[in-house]
Amino acid sequence: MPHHLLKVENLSFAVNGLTILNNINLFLNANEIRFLIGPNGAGKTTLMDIICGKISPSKGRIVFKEKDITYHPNYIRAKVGIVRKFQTPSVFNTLTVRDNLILSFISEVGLKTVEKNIKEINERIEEISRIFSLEKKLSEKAQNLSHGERQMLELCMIMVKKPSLVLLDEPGAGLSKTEKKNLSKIIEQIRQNTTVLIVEHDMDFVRMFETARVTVLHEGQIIAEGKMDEIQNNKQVIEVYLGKGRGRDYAVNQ
Amino acid sequence: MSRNYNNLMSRVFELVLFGSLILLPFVTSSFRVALFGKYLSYSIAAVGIVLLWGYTGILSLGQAVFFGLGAYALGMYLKLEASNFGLTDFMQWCGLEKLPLLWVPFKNVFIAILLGILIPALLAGALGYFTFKRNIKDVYFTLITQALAVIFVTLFIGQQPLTGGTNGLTNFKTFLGISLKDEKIKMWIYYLTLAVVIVLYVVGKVIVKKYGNILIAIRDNEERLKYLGINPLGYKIAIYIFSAILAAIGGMLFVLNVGMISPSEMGIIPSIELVLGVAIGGKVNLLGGIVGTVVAYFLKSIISENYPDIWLYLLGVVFIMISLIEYTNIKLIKNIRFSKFKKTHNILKINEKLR
Repeated sequence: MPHHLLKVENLSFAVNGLTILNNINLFLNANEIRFLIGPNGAGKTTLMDIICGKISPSKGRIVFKEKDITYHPNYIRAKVGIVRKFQTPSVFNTLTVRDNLILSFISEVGLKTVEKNIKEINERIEEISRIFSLEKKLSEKAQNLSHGERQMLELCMIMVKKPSLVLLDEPGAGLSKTEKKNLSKIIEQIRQNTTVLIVEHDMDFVRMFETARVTVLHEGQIIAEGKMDEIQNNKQVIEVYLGKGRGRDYAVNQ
Repeated sequence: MSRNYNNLMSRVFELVLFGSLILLPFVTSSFRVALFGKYLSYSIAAVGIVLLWGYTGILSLGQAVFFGLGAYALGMYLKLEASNFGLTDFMQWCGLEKLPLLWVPFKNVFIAILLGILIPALLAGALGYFTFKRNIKDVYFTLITQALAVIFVTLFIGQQPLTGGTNGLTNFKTFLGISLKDEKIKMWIYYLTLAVVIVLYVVGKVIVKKYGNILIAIRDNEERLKYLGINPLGYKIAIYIFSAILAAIGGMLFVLNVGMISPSEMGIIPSIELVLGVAIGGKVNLLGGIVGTVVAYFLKSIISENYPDIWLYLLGVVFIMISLIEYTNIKLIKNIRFSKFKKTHNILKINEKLR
């Protein structure tokens, strides 16, 4: 049996008697892109919140690199390699792009190492900012960037940390078509050393990743898992997304 | 280029400010000099507030408590020295026959100074740990610090045999045998205060240089910092403790300059006045915090000398004005950016059409 990078085992989450997630089992391999889709209220973001340590599950466990991390606080998880990107770009607004990235380096190697090697780090910042088209914005404050640029900055900050698992919450939201294409290229690049788990609503964006696997969540349960073309023709998935009766028309039209 | 220019300007401002403060005793009466000594002792607390509020985004409206604790610690020593290390006047009035145990350590000036720093530091550390650990922040934290101010004022007024009650500690005579009433000594106390201000200003600058970005990151987006793998808890507690220590040192110098300390210096209003000074000077600017505090207290003296009733109303008006200006400033900046963006956007579109 292969070693999984992340194992979510028999995970349940309930609030005030309301079950949000029910017995979820999710296994991610190294260097995999996995999409998490489902209608509103399916529990996608809650599952992300539990994996990154924002909330604790009611039942079940999370194993990362063979270590149980179910009750580790969020900053420890970030240290061992699980980094999250939020739906609305979450950066340090009054700091410059460069200082945002320096902080990311500090979080990775520590303040002392950064101070000692500030020259090399500045060079690396210039290098990596080019991938995210931010090289001309390094001296701008983050609050003066456009929405898309801030999304890129947050991704760039995450990549500086060389994480093993990146959680992306609707990274395509609010981006133009070209920006989405660029984003898909960047995610493909990220995946070479990292596993990427993405919550996404936009199916066109999901289709940009041919090799990616998709997990469908509905009312707190996983109802299907597989490649996009398999999922598209799954009866249960079609029913969930479009309601009973209309499923066949939808499948034919696709 | 602009960074160099800014550095140069701040050097010039530093020279002008500290230079004129050094020259002050030569151009004004010893009465005013002593008042400026008082303002400067407040400005030490202001340096801490700039770091805590301006940089880290933690608004404490209870800094006067730490200020008061420092002041009381040294005040207790001075009071003992004035009473030949026996029972003080107010203790006799309250019918005490033996020096309370709490007062015994303060017979030694070094222990008094040490406790004057240690007690506020421990209090801030404990309060910081229990609130920040539970993720209590913003206005909720501010409210807790206000409660702290109320608690301490009530406690100090209530424990008259131990604290001197409403009157506090007064009638100090000498400090280490040197008369505090002497004009020359008063001038040297002013210079001592100024020297401490300069030293702590430099310490503040070093902290900003080293940790400034992390502190700003806590203010901007604490959650993001956690999800990057940096736990802000330690930084928040450390900066809160540091600001408490600065306030306590300010309090000690206040006692030397003013010659008294009472619970009215520990309450909510003095805490708000401290924050107000920082707000006037620009809250993310150490030098501005010092200037703002000196200016605010100077104005307070002038106004309350001539129109004693007006000060509190004016305080309220200035506080509202500052909040309004801050808010409108932010809006203004956003609007300007937006219009700029729109313009360039249009130009891009026109260029596209021309092609």
